[in-house]
Amino acid sequence: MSRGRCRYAVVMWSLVAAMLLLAVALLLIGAVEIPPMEVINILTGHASDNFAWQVIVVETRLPMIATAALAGAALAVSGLLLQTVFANPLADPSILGVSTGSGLGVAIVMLAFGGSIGTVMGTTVGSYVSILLGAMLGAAVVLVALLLFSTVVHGAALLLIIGIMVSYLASSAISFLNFFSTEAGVHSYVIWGLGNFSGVTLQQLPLFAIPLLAAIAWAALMVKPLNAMLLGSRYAENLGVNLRSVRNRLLIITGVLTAVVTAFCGPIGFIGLVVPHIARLLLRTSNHNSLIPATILAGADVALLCTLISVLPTSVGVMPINAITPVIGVPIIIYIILNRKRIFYFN
Amino acid sequence: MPILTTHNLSTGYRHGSAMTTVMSHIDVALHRGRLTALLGQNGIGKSTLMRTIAGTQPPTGGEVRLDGRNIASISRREMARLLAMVFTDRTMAGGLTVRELVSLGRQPHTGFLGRLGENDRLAVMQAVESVGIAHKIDTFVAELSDGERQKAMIAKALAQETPLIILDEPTAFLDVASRIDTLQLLSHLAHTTGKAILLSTHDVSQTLLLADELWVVTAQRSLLCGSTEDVVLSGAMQHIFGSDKVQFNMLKGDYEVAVPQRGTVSLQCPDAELAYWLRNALARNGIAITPATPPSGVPLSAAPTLTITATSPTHITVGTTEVTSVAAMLKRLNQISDIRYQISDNSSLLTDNS
Repeated sequence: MSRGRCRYAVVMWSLVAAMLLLAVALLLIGAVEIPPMEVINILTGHASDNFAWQVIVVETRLPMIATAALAGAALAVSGLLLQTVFANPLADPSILGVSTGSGLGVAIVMLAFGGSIGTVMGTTVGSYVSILLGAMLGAAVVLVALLLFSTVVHGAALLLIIGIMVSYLASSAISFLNFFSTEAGVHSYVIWGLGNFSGVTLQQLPLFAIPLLAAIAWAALMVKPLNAMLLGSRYAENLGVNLRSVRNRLLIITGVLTAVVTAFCGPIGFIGLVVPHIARLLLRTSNHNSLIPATILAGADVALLCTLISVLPTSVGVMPINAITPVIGVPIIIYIILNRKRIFYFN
Repeated sequence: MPILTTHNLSTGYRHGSAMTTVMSHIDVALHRGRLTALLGQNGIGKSTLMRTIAGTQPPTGGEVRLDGRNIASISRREMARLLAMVFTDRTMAGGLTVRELVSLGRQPHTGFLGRLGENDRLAVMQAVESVGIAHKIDTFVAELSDGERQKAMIAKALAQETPLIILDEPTAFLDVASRIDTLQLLSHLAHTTGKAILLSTHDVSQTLLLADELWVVTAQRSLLCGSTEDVVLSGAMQHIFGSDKVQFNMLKGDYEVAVPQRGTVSLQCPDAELAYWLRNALARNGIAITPATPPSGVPLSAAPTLTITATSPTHITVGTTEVTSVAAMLKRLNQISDIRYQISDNSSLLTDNS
C-alpha cells in the first residue's frame, strides 16, 4: 500500500515537472526567437519593448500551451472512460465514432457554407460558434444513436462495432460533402483535419476550457462505478451500480470532451488511445482513483510534447499535430500489443 | 427462518407477449449457515434459475422472497447488501491488487466516492483472511493462480457482508486440488459465518461430500430438494442425465459409464482398496461380481463360477492361474472361455487386450 502511494507521488510529481518543463520550452521555442529574459518580463507583467514579442507570448504561445494541455487531458480522459465502459483496451473516441460524428458536424458547417467561414486560424467568433455547434451536434447524433442501440444491443463489444459502423457512415457523408463542396471549403476542412492546438485565441479560451474542465471534473466523480465496471457488467450490477445510467453518463462526458476538442483543434488521434496505457504502466494500477489524475496529467504532457515537436523551427512553419501523434502513439500501442501477456493489467 | 424462499416460481423468458417457461412450480428455500449445491446437466435451466433467484431476470410466474420481501420490490442498492454474486466472467481486474479487488465488495456500504472507512478496511482484511490469501493482499490479481483468483472473488463477496452468496460454477476452471479447496472453503464459510451459500456445479463427487443441501434439476426439468443424503438416497441422482449411458454409482457417489454387463466372476480379496480397483477394472470390461458364497436361501447358479483371488496387486489368481498385475488379470480373463457362459454374443470380452 505504502509502496503504491510512494509510486503514485513520484509519478504525479514527475508528470507535473514534465508539464512545467514542456510549458517553459513552448514559451521559449518557436518560429520567432525571443530572449528568455524578455519572456519572463512579459509573463511577470512588465511590458516588453518589442510589441510583437508581447503579442506572440501572450496571444499565441500562452493560449496554445493551455489549449494543448486541456485538449490532451480531455482526450486522454475520454479514452480512459471508453476503455473501461467497453472493457476494451483499444477503445478511444475515434473508434466509438464520436470524433467522426463531430467531424461530420464540422464538415457540414464548413463545406455547406463553402469557403465563407474561412480557414480555422483567424476566423471570427461567430464562425467558431457555428463550428463548435456543428461538432457538438455531430457528436450528439452519434451518442444518441449509440444510446438507442445500447437499449437494444447488450454487450460492450457489439456496441463498439456499431460505433465503428456509425463512424464509417459519417466518413462517407464527409466524402460526399467534400465532393460537392467548393475548393476553398475543402481546403479549410483539410487544414482543420490536420489538427492543431494554436487555433484557440485568448478570448476564446474560456469557451474551450470551461466545458472541458466541467466534463473532466464530472468524470473524476465517477471513480466508484468505473472501478466496479472493471469486474464486468454482472459484477458491477451486483455491487449496486445502475449500469445503464452510468454508461449513459460516461458516454455524455466522452461526447462533450471529444466534441469540444474536435471543434477547436480538429480530430486528434492516438492521444485518447495511448495515454491511459501510459498512465497504467507508470502507476502499475487499473484503479481509477489514481488513474484519472495521472491520465489527466499524462494527456496534457503528451499533447504538449507533440506541440513542442510541431513548433520546432522548420522552413515551412508549424507542423500538423496529426502528423506527430501517430509517431509517438503507434510504437507505444505496438509495444503494448506485443507485450500484452507480460503486462499486468491484461491478465 | 430461511433467507430466501420461492413460491410457485416459474422461470423462463418473455419475448413481448410470448412466454417460454423453462421450469415451473418451484418451491424451495435457502437456509442460513448451509451450503446448497445446484446440480443439473448443461442447458437444463440452472443459470436461468440462478438469475431468477438473484433478481436479474424476472420470473414468468410466482415470486422469490429474499429476507421476507418480494425480490422485485428490493432496490438495486439494497440488493447489493443482501446478495453477493460470484461469476466466472472474464474481468479487467488484473491491474488491481487483491486488496483493491476485495475493497470493491464494500461499494454497497460506502459513499458517493467509495472512500473506505475504518470498518470497511477491517471487513476487507477479515474477508481476505477468511479465504486464506492474506499473504497475497498486495499482489496483483493478474499474478494469482486460478484458485487464488476465485478465492479473491469469494473474499469480495464476503466483504459485501450479505446474508446470501450465490456462486455460478465457482469451480469450473480450476484444477482438482483447487476445486476441493474452494468447495471446502465455501462449506467452512457457510458453517462459521452463518451465511446461506448457493452454488451451481458439475463436481458431483466433491459436492456430495461437502454440500449440506442439494437442488437437483432432473432431465425432465423438475427440481428435487433436500438434505444431500436424503436426495441421493431417494434416487434423484439417477434422473439428472436423461441418458442410460451414464449411471450414478451409489457406493462411489459419482457417475460412471454404464458398460453392458457380459459376464460375472466372484472375487475374494481381503484388502478393501485392492478390491475396489479390481472391481473398477472388471466393471469397465463389463464383468460384474457375484458374492463368493451366495446368501442362504438364494439358489446357486447352475453355471460354474470363476473365482478371482487377490492378496496384493502382484498376487492375483484367476481361477487356477497366477498373474502378477491387473493388466495380466484382464488378459487372462480374455483367454478363458469359462466365464463366457453368460455372454449373450460371441464378440471378444476384453477389447483393450489382444
